[in-house]
Amino acid sequence: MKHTIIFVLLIAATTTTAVFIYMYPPTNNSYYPPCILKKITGFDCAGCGSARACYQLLHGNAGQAANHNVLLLLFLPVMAIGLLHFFTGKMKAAWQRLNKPMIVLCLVVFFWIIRNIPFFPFEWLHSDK
Amino acid sequence: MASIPGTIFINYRKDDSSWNALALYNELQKYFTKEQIFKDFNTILPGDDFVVSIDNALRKCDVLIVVVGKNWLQIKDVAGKRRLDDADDFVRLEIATALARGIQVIPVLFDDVPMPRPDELPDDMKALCRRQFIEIDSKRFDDDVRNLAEAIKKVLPDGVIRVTPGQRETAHSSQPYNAGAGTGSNPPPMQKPDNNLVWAILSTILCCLPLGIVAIISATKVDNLWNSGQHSEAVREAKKAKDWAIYSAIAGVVVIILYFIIAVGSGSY
Repeated sequence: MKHTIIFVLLIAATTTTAVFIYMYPPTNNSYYPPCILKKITGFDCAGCGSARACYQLLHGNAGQAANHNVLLLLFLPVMAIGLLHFFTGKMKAAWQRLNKPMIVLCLVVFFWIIRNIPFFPFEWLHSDK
Repeated sequence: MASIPGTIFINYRKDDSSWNALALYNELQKYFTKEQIFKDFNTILPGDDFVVSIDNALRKCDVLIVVVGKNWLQIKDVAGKRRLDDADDFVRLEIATALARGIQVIPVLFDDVPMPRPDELPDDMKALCRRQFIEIDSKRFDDDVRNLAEAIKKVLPDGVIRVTPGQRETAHSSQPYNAGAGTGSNPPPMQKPDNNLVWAILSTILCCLPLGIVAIISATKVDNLWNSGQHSEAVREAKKAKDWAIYSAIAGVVVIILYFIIAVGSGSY
């Protein structure tokens, strides 16, 4: 195991956040701060809806999670493999195949743009209320 | 970091391939750090037992590249005896020692030289013929060396290059190429940096501020910079990716805390 301190911090932060999100649904009038970009411009950013997506995932609703932030769902396995490789050095080959920053950048920017197009079918990508 | 360092030794015969070896040495630095590649590692001081010297030098070697030029096989000494038939010939001793020790040996054939046949080699070198060779042509030099570098990366302990300072002191001191540079201290070794993409993605998707995108942009540059030989720029860009991911995470936490304070203060809970 490499980077033990980061690992412990990350696990602690993830667990706390997960428990909090599990218990308190992140809807608009709650404990959760809105995305500043969204507050100012009204546009979704690429990360908008991820707290709600996490809430739905923690409650076992993958479909609902995708509705809030489909990119989160897509990146979860990527991040899982990346983190596993970072901390244990395992899954090197798999991570090397996934470690394509240019594709990630294009996906994020593309997603960011099309989720803000205000009509069907792009509307579905919107973070929703 | 407790990792096994990967070290590449270039074995060549001065009268046959000094330019080939030099070109190879320079080109391989695109893929590996200078501290990992050893040419002329077999410099032997007066009074040294050269069998022991070679043995010691090869102890640090993970891959031995055997540079084979046009005259490699046939070159003769002043007495007219083929050098390879001399049991004390350096080139032969290095190769034979490496083969006997199970070190990865890669014959690199320059100028369309065919792979020598077992019957052309002394007994302790015959195993060389069974090693997969790589051909290098001056017209395709870049591509050929890239293939070689790929092959080397596969056999290095981790596939990644790590050099720990101090681990190779002996090899350094017996290495005229570096000694000639006269820097006194070795430059810090460099390894291909992690592009920190995991953190960039994490901070982009999970933080309430879209700062992580800057981290992703930096991450895209790391590999290209590294592969084009701009190593310090690659390291800098990798650090930038990490830093921005951290800024993004910190900003996210700060926003959450501020939000709490303001919300509690204004009594909306």
